Amino acid sequence: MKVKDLLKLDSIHLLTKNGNMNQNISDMYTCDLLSWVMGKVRKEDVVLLTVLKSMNAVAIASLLNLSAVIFCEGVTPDQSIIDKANDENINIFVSSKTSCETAIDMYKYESIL
Amino acid sequence: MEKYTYKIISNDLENAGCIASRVKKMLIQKGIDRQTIRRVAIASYEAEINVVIHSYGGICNVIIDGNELTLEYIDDGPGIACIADAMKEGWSTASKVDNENGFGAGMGFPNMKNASDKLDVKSSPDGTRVVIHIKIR
Repeated sequence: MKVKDLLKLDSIHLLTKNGNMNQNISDMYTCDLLSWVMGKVRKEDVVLLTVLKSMNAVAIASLLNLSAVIFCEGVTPDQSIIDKANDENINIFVSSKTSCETAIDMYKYESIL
Repeated sequence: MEKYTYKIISNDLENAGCIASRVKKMLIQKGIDRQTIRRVAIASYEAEINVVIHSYGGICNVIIDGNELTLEYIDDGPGIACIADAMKEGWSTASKVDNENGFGAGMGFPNMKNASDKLDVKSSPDGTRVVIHIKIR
């Protein structure tokens, strides 16, 4: 599954414009504590699902080469966060569903690809 | 030997992680292997965050000497009451505001330890010095 495939899910919308849409998605990880993410995400190309509206989610995404950050449950990041993500070529999405529901949607879509 | 020094500002949550990001970009330009860069990114991010959220401010020195990379963080206090506690997973003294920003998982020092080849921490009320050694492969 690639980042651009996320665009086909109704509950998810892209907020950034400079990320690599052809980046692979190797896995998903859902967490709202950044150091936990930093210590536990061992692979590259992982999608982070979170409700933590923080500039530091972008920093984590950049440092760990995440494929995308999806802010769930309608949590919409401030423009400053979106601008920073564009500067760092990070993909940011917003989902109207919970982290779990979004992960399930992604999993279901992956299975039909 | 190359040495770079960066200033870290206390409570500047918006820019926390910027130095780690700059160090990572520098190492990519040097063509250093991805696994080493990943370890440096994790260790440098955690150390920087600690200075931002726990200290009165400080500096970061990045020293590259052959295949030895050293990250040194020196802050102006107030120090760590018990370093052994700080090394435990889940132990945190982060404030409510820090928690709301996603910090305070109590994984800072454990992550630094796992990502480094050697970690030295010395602390007194006058300040803390964290030195992270990572071998470049």
